[in-house]
Amino acid sequence: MTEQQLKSLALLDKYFSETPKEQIEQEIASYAEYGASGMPASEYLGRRIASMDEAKGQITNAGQNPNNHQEITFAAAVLVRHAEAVKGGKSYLVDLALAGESNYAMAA
Amino acid sequence: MLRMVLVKIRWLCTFRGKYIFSLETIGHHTVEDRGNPDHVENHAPFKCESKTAYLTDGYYFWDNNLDLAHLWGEIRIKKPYMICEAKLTLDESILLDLVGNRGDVLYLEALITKYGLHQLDLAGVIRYLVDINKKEKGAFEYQAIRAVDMNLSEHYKTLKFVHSKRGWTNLNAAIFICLLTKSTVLLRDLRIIYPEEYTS
Repeated sequence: MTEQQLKSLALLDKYFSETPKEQIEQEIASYAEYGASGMPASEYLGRRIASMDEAKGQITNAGQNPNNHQEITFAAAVLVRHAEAVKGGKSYLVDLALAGESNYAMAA
Repeated sequence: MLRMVLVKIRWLCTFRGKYIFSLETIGHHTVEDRGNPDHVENHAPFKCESKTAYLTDGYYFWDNNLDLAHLWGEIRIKKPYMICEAKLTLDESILLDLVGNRGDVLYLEALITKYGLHQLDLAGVIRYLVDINKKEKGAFEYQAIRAVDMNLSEHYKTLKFVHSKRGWTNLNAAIFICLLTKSTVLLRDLRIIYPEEYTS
């Protein structure tokens, strides 16, 4: 192993030894669940998209990658949530829907 | 003069007296064609943040494989698509190479065993390690991961080592690279190479 990998293992040793066992078990279970069935959408949203600006950015760029449809739907949902409160949010969403983005239209 | 050039090359290839191996390759990145080539050239690659991303959230490239980039457009995007090409430079200090570096594979196996991560899939392991690194800096400092999808067997291009034996190799391995960060150190000269109407 390289020096970097040995250092990595030493730091992982530290993390796994200093973190309570129950917490480690919970973390591993949550990462397993994330890949298998997915974490609850609310948690996913809370973790990933904190603001309308972030949601807009995510929609504009992530939309180009077809793997992100679920992300986009979540982002669109955030936009809907913020649309009433934030000036310009609603019209932005409508523009996207008119542009033929079915995910956004659905969420709207 | 020649001596100065040699010293510079050696300096570039070494760090603290040790050689750092660097992988230089071409990456192919397929995206939807929304008629916005300028936006794509200015903002690509686009991050994959799907829960089913093979190696966690990141910027995915086929490792110099235009055939698979087209295949991805046809079977995954299923509508007009663009293919971007970029130069990738990945030093071994930032690349976890699960294709070409047996040491990296053994390191990954060792940590899965040592920390009891068997119930996680590969994406889960990487995602977990990346998150641990945010709390314990240096625990997993890789910025790119290279892996091969063995499931695309119908696209293998097989070639026997010798006709008289059973052994064979695959000349079309589905090798892909996930960049965890978008950085000009790792990635440069991105341009659209398909469709032709967007190439200049």
